[in-house]
Amino acid sequence: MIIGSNLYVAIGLFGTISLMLLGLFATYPAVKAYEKNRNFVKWYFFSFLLLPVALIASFIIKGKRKTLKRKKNSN
Amino acid sequence: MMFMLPVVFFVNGFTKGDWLEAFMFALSVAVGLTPEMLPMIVTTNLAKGAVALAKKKTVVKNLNSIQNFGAMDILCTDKMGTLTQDKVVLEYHLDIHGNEDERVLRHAFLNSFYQTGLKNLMDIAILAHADHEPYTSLQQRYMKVDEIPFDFNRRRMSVVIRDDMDKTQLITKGAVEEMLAISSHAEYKGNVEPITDAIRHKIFKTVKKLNKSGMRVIAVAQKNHPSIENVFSVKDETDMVLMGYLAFLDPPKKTTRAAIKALKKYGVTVKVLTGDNDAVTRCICRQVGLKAENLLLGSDIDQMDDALLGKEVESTSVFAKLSPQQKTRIVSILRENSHVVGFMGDGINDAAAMREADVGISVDTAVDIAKESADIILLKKDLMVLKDGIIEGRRTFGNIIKYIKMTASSNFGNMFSVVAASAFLPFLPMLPVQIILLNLIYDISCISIPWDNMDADYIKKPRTWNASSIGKFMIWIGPTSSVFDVMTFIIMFFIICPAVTGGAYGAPGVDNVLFASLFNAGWFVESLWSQTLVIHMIRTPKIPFIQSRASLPVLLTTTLAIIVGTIIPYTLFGASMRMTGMPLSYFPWLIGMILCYMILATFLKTMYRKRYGELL
Repeated sequence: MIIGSNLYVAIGLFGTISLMLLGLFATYPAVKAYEKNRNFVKWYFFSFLLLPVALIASFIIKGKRKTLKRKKNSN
Repeated sequence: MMFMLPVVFFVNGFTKGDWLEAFMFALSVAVGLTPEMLPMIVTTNLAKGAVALAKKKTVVKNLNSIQNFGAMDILCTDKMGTLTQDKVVLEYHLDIHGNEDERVLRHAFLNSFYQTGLKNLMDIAILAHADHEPYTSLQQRYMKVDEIPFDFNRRRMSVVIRDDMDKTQLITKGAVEEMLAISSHAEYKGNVEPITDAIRHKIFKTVKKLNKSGMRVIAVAQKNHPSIENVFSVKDETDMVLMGYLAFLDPPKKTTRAAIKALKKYGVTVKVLTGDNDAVTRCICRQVGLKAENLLLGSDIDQMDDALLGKEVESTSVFAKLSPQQKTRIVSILRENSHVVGFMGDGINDAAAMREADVGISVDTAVDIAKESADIILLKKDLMVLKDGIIEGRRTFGNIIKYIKMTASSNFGNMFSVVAASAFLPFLPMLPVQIILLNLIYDISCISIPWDNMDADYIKKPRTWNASSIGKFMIWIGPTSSVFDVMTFIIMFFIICPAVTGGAYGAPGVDNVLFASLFNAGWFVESLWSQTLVIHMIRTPKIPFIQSRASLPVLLTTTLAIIVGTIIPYTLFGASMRMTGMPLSYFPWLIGMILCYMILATFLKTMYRKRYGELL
């Protein structure tokens, strides 16, 4: 149904919705990383640019404070 | 809005070529983005809160204080009357060795009877105790000559009387320490002897014993022929003869312990700021469950600078022997420590602290200046009433912030939708008059917000105004509805409208006017559904309709708004607004989108709460 002059409309609307959804879902890895004491804003931009990578990374990374506590305990 | 409107105007002007329509569209978007119901919602919320509080025996003098009432996390209160029963009874009138002595009561009676200042609870207790012969006839034998009124620095007051033998007497009563400071002699069994260290020690021991059993003690002294010139002043309050003391009992209310516990449960810490001495205050505080081990006296506070006092006030719950200035200083320091402070008092000495506090609370039996200084007046002198007030304050604040956040986020989302539509669509996504109509229906559905419930979890914590949280909420939640606006544009433009008109927009044989009016109606209905449902989504961090349900008025008005908005495109009125009814095939799409919207909004709400700890 996307024909002729409406290609511009299609690209515009689909592009907008894709960016919006990306922006919304990028919050997930950012919040996940924030819970592990990482910088939320930096992680949000990272997620926005590379969502799949950021998603995996947010699961893999360890919490900063927990690591410190463990170090203290081992000492 | 200053950035948004020129963008919408110029983008529509350049892409569609009709500058007048672009201007009208930008103007109607401006109207739509303005939270014009805000003053009405805030005022209705506050007025409704005031009415609800009035039913709970609380009069709100200053409407804005309802918000502070809910935000309050520290309640400072004077001991008398609030923690105690406010029924001061004179238990003992004793000589300096602790034996009952009628002369002490007689002099105290004359002092209280002839003083013309404000009679405090102890004066009333003395007069009530001596409301029989031979005391009542004393007024025929004595004539008042002069009076030296009470002040909070001297903490005593005097009257000068003359008897029928022309003997002039100065009778003074006041705080024990201050009375000892002005007395050089003490009277015991008719003999007057100089106050030695041994006597002083004995007096303090007796007073302390009485204080420890929760009694307030004041001393009475007298002096014959105080001034030869018959002109009396504070200077005459020297070399007096201490006669004895009066012990008063004002036991704590039965409800006080439970009330303090309830306030703690709601995140409000009670601090006692009293002019009474430390021993009595400790005794009463222990009885009502307040930790009084770490007690600070007015004299300690004077030694501290603001920085040190700022630390001490955090760990101290009980302050005794305070002057009005010291009470005000403590309230001020607590506020500087970012607390929202309420001060409950009923005396002249509380007025300044009440004015300094975020919420001044008084009672209807208080002195005029205290009532004048108060924002809230309790008709029942009980801390339990305060708990109800705090809950109502938080509910009121919650409903206000709910409207602000939902309107801000909804408008922020609409901004994206309008910019996207202006940039990419060949016609206006909604006509100016349709935007105004949509705005009107949404605003009407918001009228019921002051009658909405708040979740029990929300009410448990003090809530303070935080402007930055509105911005964060707007940025996080706003674009959610925008996603579904743009999705509606796609569905309407590429599926529904071509299906009804028989082809794509601009294609030969396609009625472009019908295409646009159908599109307008489709977005009008979707926008109204999502805007109205956002009320249910945002009002609670829980799952709406399942875990937390809005009040009946909110359910009714939002449902009505959705029904009316959905029907309009099918009516003559809708046609006059240049809308065409959508085919039935539109509604499964709409319902699907709304369900997806609710899922996405729940996801973002969860993310937002994980990031900032709370939703509203």
